[in-house]
Amino acid sequence: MLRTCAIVSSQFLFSALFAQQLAVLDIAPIEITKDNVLTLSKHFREVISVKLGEASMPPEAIRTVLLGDKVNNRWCAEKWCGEEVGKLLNAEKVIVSSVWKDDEMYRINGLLIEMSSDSVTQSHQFNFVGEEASLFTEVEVMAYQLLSKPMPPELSRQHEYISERSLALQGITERRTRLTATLLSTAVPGLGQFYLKRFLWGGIWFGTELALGSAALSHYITWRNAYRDFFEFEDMYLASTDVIEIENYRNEMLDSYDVAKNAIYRRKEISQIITALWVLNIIHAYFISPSTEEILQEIEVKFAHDPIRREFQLRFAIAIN
Amino acid sequence: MPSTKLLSLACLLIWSCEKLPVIDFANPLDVRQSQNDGILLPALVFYPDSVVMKTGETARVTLFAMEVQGLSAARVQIDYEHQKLNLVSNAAGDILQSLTNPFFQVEDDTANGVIDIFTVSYGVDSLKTVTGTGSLAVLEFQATAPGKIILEYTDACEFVDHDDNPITIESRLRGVLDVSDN
Repeated sequence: MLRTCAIVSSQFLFSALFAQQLAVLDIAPIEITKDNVLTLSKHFREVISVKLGEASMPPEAIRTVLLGDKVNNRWCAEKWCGEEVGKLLNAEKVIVSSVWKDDEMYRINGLLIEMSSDSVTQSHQFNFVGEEASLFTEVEVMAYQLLSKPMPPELSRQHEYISERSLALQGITERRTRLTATLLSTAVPGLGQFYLKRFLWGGIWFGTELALGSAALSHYITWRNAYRDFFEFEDMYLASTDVIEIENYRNEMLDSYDVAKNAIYRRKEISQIITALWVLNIIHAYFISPSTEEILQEIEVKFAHDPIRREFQLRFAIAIN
Repeated sequence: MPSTKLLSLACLLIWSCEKLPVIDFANPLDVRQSQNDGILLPALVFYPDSVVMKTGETARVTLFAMEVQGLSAARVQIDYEHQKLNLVSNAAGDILQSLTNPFFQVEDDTANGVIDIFTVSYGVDSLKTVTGTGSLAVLEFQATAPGKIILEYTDACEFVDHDDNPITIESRLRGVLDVSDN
């Protein structure tokens, strides 16, 4: 009886003290070790309370209340579950989240549940391929996103780094880059090479095609002029009654015809060369696209320089455990 | 957009289909073409050899002697369809022109559709004969009915030199008046 009164009174006291607060439940793990997820959960709560300044219920207090109802809050990652726990805790808001290691991919999900309206006011979902240590950064990002706080620049850079590395490791960046470069070179010779920052090659392809295109245009103009001249001479030939004039116009007609014929032939020759080089340029763009390893190296170089601090920094990983 | 225009021009250059003109040496006074076509010279031709006109309109046709040597006088007789054509006017050509106008007489037998032309050079010394190609007469016709009307030189045509020796006319080419309704 006394013990029951003590629990009930502690619940009332708990409710009275923390009625307006945020309850942050442990991150639910799927294919993650329990110890690692507890470390992540601890980091998650620290970010919320220390960096974001949000008052939240102490985890021990939450466990004490839930223990009475024999609820293991660590496996709560759904809205319905968060609502149930929120009612028990008499919390104003509840954050539930999970981390799932799905083969090579880490999937992070989080929900901010508003108890008064029984609705999810914020959600966060992020998937990435990379090191488990990156979960530290990503749960921190999740905290900022769920509580709608602006991320500090350093955290944004780290998140961007993880995101870019993830796309590269999945081969998406390689495929995307190769496709973009190929399509660009298909549209304009050399443009794919420029996109890949191979400026010399881009200039060579573009310059060559431009020069050949100019030559083709020149032959086209020659044909057009000769074609027009032919008919002008033909009109004069038909209108003339002087035998010598007729002979001269006849020869002019034949000359114009030969010029037109040669211009067509030369233009077709050049067009074939243009087409062949265009195809070679497309193939070249396809094959010089960077591999995944090269892309990963580029990412490392890109993020090695911190533009905020304006310094290069070494990057190292910390094991969660 | 400039890039769209550039691309269009590029496609035009690569896939454009320039064509060659069709060579058709259709001037009846073209000596080389006549030789290529197997037409023997000297010849009597109409210029133009084909006229498109409408009923009621007039057309001028010139009678030419082609590549003739030592011509001094000529008789030209033309058959025409008198039901569809009227001779409106006539004038002497310039091949037998010398210091004076040549003798020039035209007889138009409208009943039978025959035009007889006599023309003689009054030139003396080096001008008494002519060599080459030139017009003998200019005739103006009016079409009175539609249809393809043929103008034909008859066998009575003659060329003679200063001594009245005949000069063989190797070819006599016809003319066509293509008359359509208004």
